[in-house]
Amino acid sequence: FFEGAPITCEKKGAEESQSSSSGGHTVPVTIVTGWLGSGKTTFLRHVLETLQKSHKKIAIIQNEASGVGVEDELKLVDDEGRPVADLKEIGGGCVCCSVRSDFVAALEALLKTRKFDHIFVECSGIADPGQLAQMFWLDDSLEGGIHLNGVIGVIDARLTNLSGMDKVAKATRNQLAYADIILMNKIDLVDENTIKKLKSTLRQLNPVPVELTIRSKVKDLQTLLNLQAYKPDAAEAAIQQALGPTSHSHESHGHGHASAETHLCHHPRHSGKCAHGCNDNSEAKHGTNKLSEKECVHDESIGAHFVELKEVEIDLEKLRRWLATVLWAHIKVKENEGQKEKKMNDASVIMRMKGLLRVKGSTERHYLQAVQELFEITTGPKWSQQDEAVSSKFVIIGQRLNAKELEDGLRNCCSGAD
Amino acid sequence: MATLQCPKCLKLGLPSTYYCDKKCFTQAWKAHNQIHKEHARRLAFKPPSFAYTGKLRPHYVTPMRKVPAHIKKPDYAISGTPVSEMRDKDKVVILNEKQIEGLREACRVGREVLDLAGHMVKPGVTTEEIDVKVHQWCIERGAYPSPLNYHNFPKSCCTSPNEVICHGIPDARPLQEGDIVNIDITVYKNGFHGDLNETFLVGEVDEESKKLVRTTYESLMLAIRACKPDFFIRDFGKIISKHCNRKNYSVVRSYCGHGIGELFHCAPNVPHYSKNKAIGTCKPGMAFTIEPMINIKSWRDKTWPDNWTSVTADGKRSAQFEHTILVTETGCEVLTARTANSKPFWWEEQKEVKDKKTSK
Repeated sequence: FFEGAPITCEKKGAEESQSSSSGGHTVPVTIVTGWLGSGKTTFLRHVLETLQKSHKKIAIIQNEASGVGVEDELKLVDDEGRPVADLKEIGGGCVCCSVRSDFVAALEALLKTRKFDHIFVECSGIADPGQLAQMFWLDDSLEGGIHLNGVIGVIDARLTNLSGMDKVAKATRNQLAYADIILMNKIDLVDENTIKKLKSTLRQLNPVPVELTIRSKVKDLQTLLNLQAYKPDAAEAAIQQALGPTSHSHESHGHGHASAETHLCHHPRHSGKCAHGCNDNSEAKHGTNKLSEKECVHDESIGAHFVELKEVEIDLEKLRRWLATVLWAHIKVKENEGQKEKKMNDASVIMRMKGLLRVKGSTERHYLQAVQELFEITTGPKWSQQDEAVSSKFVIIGQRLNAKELEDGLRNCCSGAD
Repeated sequence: MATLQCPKCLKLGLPSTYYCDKKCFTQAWKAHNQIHKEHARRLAFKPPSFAYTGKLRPHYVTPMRKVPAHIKKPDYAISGTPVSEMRDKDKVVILNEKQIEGLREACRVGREVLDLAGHMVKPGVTTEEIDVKVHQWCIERGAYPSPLNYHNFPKSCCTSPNEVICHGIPDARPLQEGDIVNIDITVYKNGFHGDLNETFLVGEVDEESKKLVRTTYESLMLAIRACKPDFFIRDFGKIISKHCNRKNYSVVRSYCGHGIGELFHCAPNVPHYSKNKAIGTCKPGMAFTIEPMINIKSWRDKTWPDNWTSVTADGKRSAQFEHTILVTETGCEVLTARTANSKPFWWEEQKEVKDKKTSK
């Protein structure tokens, strides 16, 4: 399946240079999720056709999740649908103590001999894009052949039950929680009110941009191909975007206390009142200066939370400790005789996090990016004079999150807090 | 009395095997002829064509050795595939007292074998000869040499000279005066793996290589010193990197330290470079290796056509040291610690000589 050409090792003189400039081309990997019928496949077809016109070479990794092992279900095909290679046979050198998963190592080995301009990972409806994002989000230091561009979630505008408790709704929410952009497709088949409502529901789930499409055609393909959603500064852009016109933040000043946050809590639609006592009929709930004790945390609910910390500075070491607690608490420990298996089913889970940080002892911006168990804190440009009042902001998407706990946890990461 | 010599061996100049009579010889022929065949393969061996980055070339590798039935073997010993690893690779293991004892013993045996191997290192000795002895020493101690058939690795230890970063395959190449060579030993005893390695000097070695070796060892020990409960695994890379960059050396990025215990390689993953996203913090009862590979110039690596040998992309030298660590309540225990039998480091020998001089 190599169109006749054998694999040869190309000698790349430039690669051997010591400088870590990323002048070397690394192939963007974009994860696309969506149910059969959402328009995901059509969207990919459009993308392929457009790119082929400019002679770009595309490969698609198909993920037929069956829940066994993520990597076993990944198949690489070219834009004609032909299998590119049996990646298991290529290997990539020894993977027994390697930084890359077997699949990514094999993929990078392949990319040394076959050129691709973009790779798409096409996920089935039940696939976990977070696990895939984690797999492709490599350390920059590796200067690998690929980098994670981002996750595109495609949904059908006629989706009536995004808030439901059935399997499809849950899986859809899971997919969308990881999206860096959502394509709401088939909008020509619904009325404006439906679009408005769905947009609002989506915003509570994940406040990323929503593009409205008809027959899966996007306005600006280049932007999608260049999401760079996991780059450090993308965190700042994403947060500005999340703040948007529809969110309000109520601020309290002084006393070195962090202000209250606006949380975009998602309320699954129960038949009437929410069991926790919040009589929610509005889409977004505004945080108040004093957070009420009754927080709406529902079983299974995935929601986006926004935390803003004003007039305080973050202690990086405390923040790292907090992240270690919230992101790694659930890591499976292999059972030994006499060890009880930890019951993790009711725990809250953070799925995706982006932060813009004002750090104690630094004049530089700091960014936080996180997905599932991975997180990275990096530095950015210095704060300017106008940025004096800028506070630290976080957008956190997860399951069964307690808004107050989140805010308290982050507030405790500020210098001066105990 | 056996006086009949194999005529073919005589012709080929191989060491003689003696047989009682023609009948005896004929019966033994099928097995004995394998020796002639192997000899022919050895003579016919040519390194495959490849853009080799340095002076080193692959040499002839002898057939895979056997391990007696009474030695407890890991699951991959027959099939080549470590099935249990693939199933449990993401799970972190906290060892209980009994398991810790098992691991301690495996590490002690590994240390014994490495110490013996280290004393073999001198010009003219082939890495194959070292592998023969390592294989024998493991079996004598009731242990299985873990590398053997792990993902089909053909030998019982890894020998990595000069520009080889790791996973060098023992072969017919004699060590040369001036070489540096890493010997990586892992043994499997009573269900536990113990993993360690050291870089040895072959005869008189140039100053740059000596400096590289010492810096690499120091970076490992600095990392170990920092290890204690709640220490971030990703921070080992910061320490190692900082120390090596001071000397303008670079840290290999493709290979990491790894969890170890009942499995050869498991969680956690321990990168040696800075700015990594390693998951987890140290917890008492966790066991893992730290094994920095440090290069004179470029950090990049390439793999030989044998799909194992990893070499520096620029052909310059690389050194490595490895220990298996157990995190304790207060810090950590180096399970593969050096003993009185360990071959002294060059800087220790130098000090000894100095001390002797000053005491005179």
